[in-house]
Amino acid sequence: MTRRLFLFEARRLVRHPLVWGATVLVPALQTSLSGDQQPDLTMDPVNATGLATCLAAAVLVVASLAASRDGRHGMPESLAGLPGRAEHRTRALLLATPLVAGLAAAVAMGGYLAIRLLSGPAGGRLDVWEPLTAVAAAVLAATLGVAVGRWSPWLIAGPLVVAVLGFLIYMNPTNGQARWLLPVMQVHQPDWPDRPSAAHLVYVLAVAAFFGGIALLRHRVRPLPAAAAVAALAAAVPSGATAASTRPPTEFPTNVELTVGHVDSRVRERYFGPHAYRCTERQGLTYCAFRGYEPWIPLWEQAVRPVVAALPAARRARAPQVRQMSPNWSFADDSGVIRASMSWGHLDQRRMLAEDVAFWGAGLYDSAARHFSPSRRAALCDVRGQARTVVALWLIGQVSPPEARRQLHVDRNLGRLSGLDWGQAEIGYAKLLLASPGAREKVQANWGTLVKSTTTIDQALPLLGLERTFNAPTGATPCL
Amino acid sequence: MIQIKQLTKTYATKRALDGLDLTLGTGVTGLLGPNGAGKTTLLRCLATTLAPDRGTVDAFGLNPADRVQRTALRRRLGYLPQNPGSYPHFTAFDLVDYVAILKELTDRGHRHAEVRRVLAEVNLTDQAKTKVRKLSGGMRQRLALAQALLGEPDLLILDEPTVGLDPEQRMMFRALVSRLGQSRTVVLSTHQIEDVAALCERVVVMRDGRALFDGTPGRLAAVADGRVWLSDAPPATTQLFWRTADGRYRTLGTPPPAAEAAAPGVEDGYLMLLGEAA
Repeated sequence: MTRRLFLFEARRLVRHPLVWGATVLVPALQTSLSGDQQPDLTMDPVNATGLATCLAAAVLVVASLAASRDGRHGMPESLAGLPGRAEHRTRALLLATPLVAGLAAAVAMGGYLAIRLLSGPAGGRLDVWEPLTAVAAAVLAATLGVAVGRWSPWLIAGPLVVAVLGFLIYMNPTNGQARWLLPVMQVHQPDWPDRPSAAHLVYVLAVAAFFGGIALLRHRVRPLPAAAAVAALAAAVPSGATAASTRPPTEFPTNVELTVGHVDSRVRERYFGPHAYRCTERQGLTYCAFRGYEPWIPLWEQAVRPVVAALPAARRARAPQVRQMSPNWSFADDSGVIRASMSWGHLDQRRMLAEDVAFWGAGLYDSAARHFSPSRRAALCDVRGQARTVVALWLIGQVSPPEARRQLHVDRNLGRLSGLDWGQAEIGYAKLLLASPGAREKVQANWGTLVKSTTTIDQALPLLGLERTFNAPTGATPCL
Repeated sequence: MIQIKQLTKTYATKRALDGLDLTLGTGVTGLLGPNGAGKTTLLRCLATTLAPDRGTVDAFGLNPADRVQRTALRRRLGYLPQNPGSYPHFTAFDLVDYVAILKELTDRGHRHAEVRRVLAEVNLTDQAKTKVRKLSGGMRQRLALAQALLGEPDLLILDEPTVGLDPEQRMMFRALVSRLGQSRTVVLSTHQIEDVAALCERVVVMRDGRALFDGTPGRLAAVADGRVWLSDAPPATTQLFWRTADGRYRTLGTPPPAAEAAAPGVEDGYLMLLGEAA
């Protein structure tokens, strides 16, 4: 009978609009949210695990309603006279709900990862335990839902548990290690130490089994469910303790000169060790990516190459390395490299890379970087009225139209505001230069003069073949 | 054969069953009695949904006090409670199918055929795919009856089964139950005395948890023999009388002046019995 009931319940669950709706919604929403980012095997499963909480919530509510169904709509008396007991129904639900929930989560997770992998070159390192945790979280939601439905007669019990768990997961994600005791820990960054995902997966599955035992114990204390609950608890405690003992990432100190020594020791070797990078030379430029991120090098090249191609040959030959680094690391000795971010895909990230190469080419990179540094809170580097500013904006224009200084998107937690200060006149001349035929030859022919910090725009206009169109005075305290 | 011996059940201070002895065999037995007489309590004890405080039920050699035998008995009974429940978001088919699984009809093909059969018995074939919440009250009552009919039970327990049914449906119900009563034990509780008169070979009148009367409908009617009167004027006494459709007065008990004797019906016998018991 349990088998038939299991099939009956499984069929009802599969057809339940909350379940299939969430199964469709999760990959759709997550795809939409990460649409402007290249697939990242480090981050995508973690992000999807967080959003899969919606599916788990739906499963928990549906499972609790199915389990408490016996006590509603005047059915207790009708059901009481049947040979099939409540225990059979609980057992069937404990088989059906985790199976359907797990399958739904696997479909949602698999669908999302497939969409991501098909959407472009994937970087990062896949932790296989992460997507499995999304499946396990749905399984846990299912058994918890059945336990809640069996132990509480109130319809509101399931949604209430969802609300409490949702609050803990979404509203308080950064405080304390105990968050690893929640079924989902959605906060992560690519440069953080590895997550205790395997221990967490074991913990989530053990807690799921524990709630299954608790649901069965509602009917009668039988040896098997009691032993299963105790065994599950015995597995949940050490695995949960292991997961929760993981230290959160080390935070950088403020108001000190940062060095590699400040980086969390657990990732120092991975990101700063001798084998941290995989470097490739492409058309005279060296690109270095962290292990797993090599597929993004051609994408960085698309932002770098047009700018480098516009430089004179001598300058091009001395082009710096493009090296992937976390935007969270800003050290005194990391000048001389162009930094590619830990994520890729947003148009601003493309612009930022082009900007850095252009500023390097025009001799402005160090000033821009120095003035950007948030720890020093330096004044802006005023480059208004300088010919090299127009050249730099023209170089950026090879990739992205010249525009006013603004906050650029580095990643979802961080923005970057250039340390250089330019105005509308510089933007206007850069646009005129971009539209001017033979501009590249003129710039390259007069490169030495144009990139001198003392050359004004008015002095450079004849060299660039441009008419004086805008008033472009130099700043009161120009940045040289 | 079902034997009930000294069945007693007390709710707080109210004694619902008071040492009831009863034997039920093949055929339709009607339970009559005022509210609180103990009819529903008796049916619940028979349906194994309520354990008596004292006394025994022996149904087909099975003792419901024993867990294993209780389950075995449940396999052989169909029960329509007084207030049958239903899941509004299930379709009629799914609801009966769910109950069929719980009745251990595990073979899918056979089970679905059985579900279709009982839905046809209660004339709900066209509503099989309709959500229960969209069914009328009468349809829901028939759906509950369909659940009780699953698996052709040896013992069919029906607590006020005709509530909410229109006259046509009641006729259909009578035909169905009288057919079932030819080969199995049917116990029904009702306030519809005409149903009892039309259906039941045997009537048990209950009051205060005891059987006041146990016999055929004819014998129940005979309780009022020589005590039913028709007159043109109402009786001067306070005894029970009512004005009939033809404008005459029907009196139970002492004849009013110029009254003529009338043939008693089951209702007369029932009322007379309860009046005497009071």
